[in-house]
Amino acid sequence: MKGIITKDLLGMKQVGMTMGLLMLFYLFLGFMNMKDSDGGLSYFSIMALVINVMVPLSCAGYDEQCGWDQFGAALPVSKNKIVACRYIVGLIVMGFTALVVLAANLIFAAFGGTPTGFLGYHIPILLTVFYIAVMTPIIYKFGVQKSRFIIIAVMIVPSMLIAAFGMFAARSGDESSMIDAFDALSAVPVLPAVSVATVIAAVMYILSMLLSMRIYSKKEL
Amino acid sequence: MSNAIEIKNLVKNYGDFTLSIDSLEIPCGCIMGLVGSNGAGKSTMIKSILDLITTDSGEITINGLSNKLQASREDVGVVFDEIKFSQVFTASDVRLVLKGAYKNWDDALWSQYIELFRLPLKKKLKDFSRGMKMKLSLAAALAHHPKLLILDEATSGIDPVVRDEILDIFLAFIQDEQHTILASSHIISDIEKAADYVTFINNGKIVFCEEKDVLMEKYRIVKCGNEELDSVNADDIVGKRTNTFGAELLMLSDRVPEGFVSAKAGIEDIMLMIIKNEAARQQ
Repeated sequence: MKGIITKDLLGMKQVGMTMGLLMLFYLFLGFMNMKDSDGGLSYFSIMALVINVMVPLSCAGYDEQCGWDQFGAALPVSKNKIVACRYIVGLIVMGFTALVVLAANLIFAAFGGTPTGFLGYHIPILLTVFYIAVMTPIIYKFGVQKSRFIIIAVMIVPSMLIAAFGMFAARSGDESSMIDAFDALSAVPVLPAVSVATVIAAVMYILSMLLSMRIYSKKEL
Repeated sequence: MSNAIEIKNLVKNYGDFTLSIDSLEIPCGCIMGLVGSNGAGKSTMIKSILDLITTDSGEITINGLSNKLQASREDVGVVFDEIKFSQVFTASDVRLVLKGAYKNWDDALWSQYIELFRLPLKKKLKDFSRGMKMKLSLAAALAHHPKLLILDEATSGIDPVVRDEILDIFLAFIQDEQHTILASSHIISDIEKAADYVTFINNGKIVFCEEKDVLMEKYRIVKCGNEELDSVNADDIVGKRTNTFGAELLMLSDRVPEGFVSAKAGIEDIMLMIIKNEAARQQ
């Protein structure tokens, strides 16, 4: 398993540099808006989410491009372990970006900025877990190229639905329903809700891994 | 003599193509050349051996272990027609990955091959020539002391000088009688030069699996004019290539009619004529 994880981590060299520069840029933007309670490091945290999702996706893309799957399956590593490695790498990347965001927040706070707080980086991580859990089995089933549109839909559809809901409320002149919905959401106690969401995300991640293993074991390489 | 690979009742059905091998045994200590036209089933057979595809039926063992077992691949080195690592990788990266995958990985042996093949360690694979990539694949396949080396079109697209270098490595590898090579190739001259046995696959079926020297003695190419052709018993003709002046016939050596001029048949002649004959029979 060590070799497969090493392969994924080394494969990130290509996207890692670009993503690192983007994070630096958003960190810089954060420092420019240091006192802004709505801005600050929130973009930086969201960028971390994008990186968390993009990096494993890119790795799968590179693997597909060079035909790694065929070679990987010829190694003395079971197909289940190969799949498990991809999920472990996802956790490593998430852990790494969480540490970077945490460190940036601490530095930010030390310079008198408004840090994003616990939720500011915990929620992006939960979203990452959700996206990886949904995307990975799709990629194993259809390959990166064919999955692209499905993945875009998974990423965009939730935000489009919210936007459509807002537009519908605005057009019908009944904005109160949307405000009510947000009020109802904000009334939910944060910590228990986040705890439940964390458990759901963890279960989803494990179920997704099991599903990917099942798909991969039947895949013709 | 034990067998490096044993295949029994293997069937893989793709709908429009079926690979069907009743029995094939590849003894330890030999180079088995796998020949056949495109789509004949060579790669499907190799994929089946490596358990890369799900077969419909059959059993395959590698060095006595089922090919489904992870442990059976510990002693196998594989070289595909292309290097299967990302183009941003360097040879050092390849070493790191494989060192973590094989229990028997030998850094010293790896360095020997890297030196022998004069490969740069820090250059990205995208800047490697095709020959360099193949040499790197070979170093990667050999550096964990495999007993079985499987090569799927590994020498295609490589210039004769590099091919010759690679063939020398194969011959050195096979000096150990526990070592075996299964090599599929379109380049018949490589098979003629290096193989001990030849397996010919056509339309998903094994046409023959013979010792190369026996095979070369078994068939003769008979050149004859149109009139002489009429006098040859049609049942004795294994394959035929006709032209305006007459024909070239592939015949079993003991069936060549007296007085006819015949020459040794190469593997390519045997393969091509049998394929043509098969195609003609199907029409």
